[in-house]
Amino acid sequence: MKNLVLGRYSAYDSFVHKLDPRNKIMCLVVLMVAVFFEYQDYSLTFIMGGILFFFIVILMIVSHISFVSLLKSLVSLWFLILVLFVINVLVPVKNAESLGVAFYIGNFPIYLLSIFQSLKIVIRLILMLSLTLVLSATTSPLDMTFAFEWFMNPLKVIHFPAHEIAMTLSIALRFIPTLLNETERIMKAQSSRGVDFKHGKLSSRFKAIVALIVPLFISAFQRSEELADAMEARGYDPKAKRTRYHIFHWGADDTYSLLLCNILLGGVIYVSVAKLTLDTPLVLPWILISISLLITVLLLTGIITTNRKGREISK
Amino acid sequence: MKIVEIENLTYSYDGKKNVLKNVSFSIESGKYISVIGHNGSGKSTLARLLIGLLRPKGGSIKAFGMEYTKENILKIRSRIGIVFQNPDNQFIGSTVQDDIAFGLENRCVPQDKMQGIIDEVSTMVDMKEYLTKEPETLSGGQKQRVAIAGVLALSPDLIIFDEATAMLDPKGKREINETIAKMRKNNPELTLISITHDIEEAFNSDEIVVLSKGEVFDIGTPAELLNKAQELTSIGLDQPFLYKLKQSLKSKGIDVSDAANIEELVNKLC
Repeated sequence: MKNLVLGRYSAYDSFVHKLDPRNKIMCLVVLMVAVFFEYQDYSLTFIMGGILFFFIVILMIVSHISFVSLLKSLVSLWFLILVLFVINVLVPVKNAESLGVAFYIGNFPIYLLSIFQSLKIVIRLILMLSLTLVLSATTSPLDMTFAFEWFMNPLKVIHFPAHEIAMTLSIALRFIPTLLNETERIMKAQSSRGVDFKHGKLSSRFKAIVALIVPLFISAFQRSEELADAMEARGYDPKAKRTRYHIFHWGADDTYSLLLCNILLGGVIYVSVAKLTLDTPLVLPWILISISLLITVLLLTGIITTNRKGREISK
Repeated sequence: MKIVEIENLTYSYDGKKNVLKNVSFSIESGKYISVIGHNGSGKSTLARLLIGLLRPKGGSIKAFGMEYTKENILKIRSRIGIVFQNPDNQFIGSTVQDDIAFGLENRCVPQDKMQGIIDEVSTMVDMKEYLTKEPETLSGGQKQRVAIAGVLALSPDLIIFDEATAMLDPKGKREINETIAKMRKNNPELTLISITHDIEEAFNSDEIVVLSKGEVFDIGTPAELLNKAQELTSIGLDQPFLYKLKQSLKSKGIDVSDAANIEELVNKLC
């Protein structure tokens, strides 16, 4: 039950962890945009995807994220990946013959283009997944809500309740484990009364779920009422001015990392817009140069992190 | 100085049945008062009236000499802290330090002063090493101590414990009672109201208000109430251990009825 929350925050003291959460979200958006560019041919598409993945791997090493967690989230998506593959391979695309036929199943031709197409989508999926994993593993939920509130600040002009939404979000996040425990308890209590959640027809299982949902909702509402009282008793007023315990400072590290992400995006846009292919003169050397640049960055960031003793705070 | 004055207080949730009827008593500054009563005696309602979450239907409450009006309510609340029953439902922050900071943020305490206050109060309740922990990793007793720290951070004059130990195991209860004793020693000015149905806990206080069916049944010091233990049974409360012990000793022919607490009893026996 507790493994339900994928990509949970793990408290370390790394370079990525210490970045401003607002910056991390901006970098995430920049990198996600970079993932979705189209290139002239497939070999370039895969190389660019590889470069981006290489960059994310650096991020994961720096921020102490285990590859097991990435694999785990990929495994939970195996069905989606399979469906993507099957649909893309079976549904004929325009100019499917252009790259030739890979092989035949019986009399049905499987085109190379369709396989490449689905590979491209899977690569994008992996990239997006690992990017979000980096964000969620290095940013505590509270920092995340702070960043969201900050991004919604301009909307306050049109009386958009940015602070209220951020507070609601942080309380919701705080209560996820509590409510999960509650769910487990109610399930056990109802099972002991003879409710069967795991076997039987769909209709009877649906009825069993009702026996879980109703008490869960009632207790959640009671909780929220008590919580509202507790907040009011401690002087909370959503409209009043408050000070802040957590204050984030935009540091040199933030500028540096945002710049790096933007340079990466710039490179990707250039390769895509200038319609470069592998045959274009100088493309191959440039790719090699950018890879070696990334390796330098890896080494540099590694040095920075070890100097600051990237130690574990708590697990 | 009288810190709380309650006169003919009446309250009802539905307009028909009065949960509190003509309750009158006052609380001296620096005292530790217990309000006891069985379930449905109106004791939690009293706590909610005191903190201003509910408005009285009749009679009046005054705290620090102020009436509970719309203008005064925030001023009064800033001087009263309350610890509720359920440890989970009053933990607002996502970590211990965030939860303690929540009240400080609401009171607009400058950010650079917060860490000092948080360190100080968390040391007071022995939760210093848990500052970065999340609530689900803490026990009930620890969560309640964080709640106490959150209240202490705002340095109130009056703290209400609304059955703060009711959902805890014996160890958690002991921890909370030790924390309360420590708080009183550190700050003798602090007034405490403990709302409870644990008779032993109540007998640790300076004065006990016994509520029954929304009315004040009796008010007195533990020693005074000890002699009326028979009447406590009649309104559904347990008899204190000391009283039970004295009764059993009496039936064995040992008369120690003038001992007011356990120490005196032990001295008399040995």
